Amino acid sequence: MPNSILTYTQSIKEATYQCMEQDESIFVIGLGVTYPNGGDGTTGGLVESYPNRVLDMPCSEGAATGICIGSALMGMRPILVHGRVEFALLGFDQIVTQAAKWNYLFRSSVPIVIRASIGRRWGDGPQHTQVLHSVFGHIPGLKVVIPSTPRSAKGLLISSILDNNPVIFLEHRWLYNISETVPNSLYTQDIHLCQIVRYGSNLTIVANSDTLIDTLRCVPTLVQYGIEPEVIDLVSVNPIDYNTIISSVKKTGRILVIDTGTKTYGLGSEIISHICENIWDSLLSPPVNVGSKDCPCPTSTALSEHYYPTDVTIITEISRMFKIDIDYNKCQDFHKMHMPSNENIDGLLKL
Amino acid sequence: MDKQTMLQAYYQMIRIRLVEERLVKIYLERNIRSFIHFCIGQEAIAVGVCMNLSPSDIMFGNFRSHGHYLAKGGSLKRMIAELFGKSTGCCGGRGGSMHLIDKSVGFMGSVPILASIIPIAVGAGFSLKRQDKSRRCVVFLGDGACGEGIFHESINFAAQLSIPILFIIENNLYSVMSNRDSRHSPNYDMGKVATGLGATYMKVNGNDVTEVYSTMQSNLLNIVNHPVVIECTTFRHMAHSGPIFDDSIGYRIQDNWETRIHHCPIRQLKEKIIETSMDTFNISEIEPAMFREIDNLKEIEVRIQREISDAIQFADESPYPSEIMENVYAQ
Repeated sequence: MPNSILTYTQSIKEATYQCMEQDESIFVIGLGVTYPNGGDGTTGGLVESYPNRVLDMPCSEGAATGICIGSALMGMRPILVHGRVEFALLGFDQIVTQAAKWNYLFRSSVPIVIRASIGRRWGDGPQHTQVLHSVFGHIPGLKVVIPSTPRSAKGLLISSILDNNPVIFLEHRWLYNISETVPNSLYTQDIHLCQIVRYGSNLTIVANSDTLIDTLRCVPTLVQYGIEPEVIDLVSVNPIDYNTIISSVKKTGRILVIDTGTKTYGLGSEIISHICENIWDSLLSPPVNVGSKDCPCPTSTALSEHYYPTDVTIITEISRMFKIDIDYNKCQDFHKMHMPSNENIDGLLKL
Repeated sequence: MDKQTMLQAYYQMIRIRLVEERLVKIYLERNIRSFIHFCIGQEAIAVGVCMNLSPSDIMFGNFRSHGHYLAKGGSLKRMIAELFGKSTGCCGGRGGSMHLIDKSVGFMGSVPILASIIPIAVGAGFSLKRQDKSRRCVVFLGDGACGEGIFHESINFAAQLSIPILFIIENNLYSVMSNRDSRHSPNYDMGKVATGLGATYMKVNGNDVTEVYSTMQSNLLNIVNHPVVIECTTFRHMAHSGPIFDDSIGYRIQDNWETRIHHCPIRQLKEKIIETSMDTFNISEIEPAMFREIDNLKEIEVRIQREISDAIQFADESPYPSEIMENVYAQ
């Protein structure tokens, strides 16, 4: 089957459409998912193909989560869509205390996918931009997936729908308009495994979502200075694919973890503690943990430009790690800081 | 309620009562390490509802669900084993008293976070509506759960999507020890809440199994395409939790000991049976296989006590579970 160049948004829609075509038990529910541009474009038009299986709903996110759980217990495969991860929190009891526990308690599997859009967008402020990877990752019984590219988004969503567990599918809205060559076929990507996006020799960088794209942007500069980073797309927050990360760090001797979530109790803390506990002897320099500032994300661009880690942060941290000066344009372009990218990342992924 | 139905109801209710009374008795001496909530006094609701259901109908419960589980036909052996923390328990020892399940008879699970179970039941009803319209879905909750937001969301959702589901509210006056006045304004009106959200509502005397049974029976057709809320008033004889009575604390103003005994559903039904000269009857009308040879109400109790002893023995002889990491995830 041929490929198409798809945006992240189009990939998610195509995955949903193709799965619904295969399995009548799948339905999509969420605020406004029936709108022409529903789910930030990811569900727009689906209702025409599947009129009774794409459902708008009252502003009752808690009940909607429970309804998805209950219908999953009876053999359906719901996909619940939240335009902001904050709305998923209205169903937090259902996610954490119910969905995550029913298989352990009752051996009643709960095959639901909860899609939630996360992260920065100009003007969204502290209650529309949270990330919360590690909040969901903390709960045994949940699988937590973060697709970083359009190709991954399609394969991971298909795998998540096929999985018999509750899967929290966190989509960084910054990525919705980036594009990539994506197979037209219905294919899966293992939701438990990291992906090595670039092989390297003297530094392991574990990134996800927008920080993966920022990391890849730094690669040409780093190579000029003799730094060959091995870039790992984390993919899964729970479970974490430590095998892949440990093998990489054993080879490179250095690790930098970068996340778009706040740093305290974040992904970096978790991954680095595991590395220190298990392969301390392999480390040539102290691990580096990069995350967003430990404060709510402010709305004003004058403040928010200091909030998220960027390619400049990555270069600065690596300079310090290798004790070298790296010549890099540290002046951030306003559009790059505050407007989501619509670039094709096929080239970046081949660096 | 005809004679045979009344006898069946009596058997179901006294069975729940005797199981719980035995659990009270052995709770401390056997070191049962499962947080527990007894439903003594509330048996008529579970039995009156379940006698109108078939095993293919599905049901969800809460932290006080021994009665719901047993009335639906849940395995007594597996319930006792669960309380003992054994691998043969209905949750393999992972749940305890607040987590009962027996899917073979349509009891789909019970959870303790009050209203948490409600939307799950609505979702199951949503699924039944699409898959098999002949099956019904029932969820049991207490009056405390009605204070949680998701209760309201769920009724609204069920009404909006025309989901067939029956909400049984067991109103025993208290949320733990908090009375109605500490939770609602004097103007609070459950009927208006339920009907205002689009459900059908009715209130019955939950201490009278004949009333619960007949209300349930006359509403079975309504549940086919619509949420129905039945509020059942009742009395919880024991403390909110634990094998104790708590009258000495002094919060029970409306339901002192005498009131509770006066309204005891089992005592009332027994009187009705005796009044209608049914003390002597052929018990084969209840459970033909089990009770072929016995012929009075006392004998029922003897048989049930034996069944309970067998269940305790089964639990005693069962092994403890060992795999702590098993089934965190489904395959």
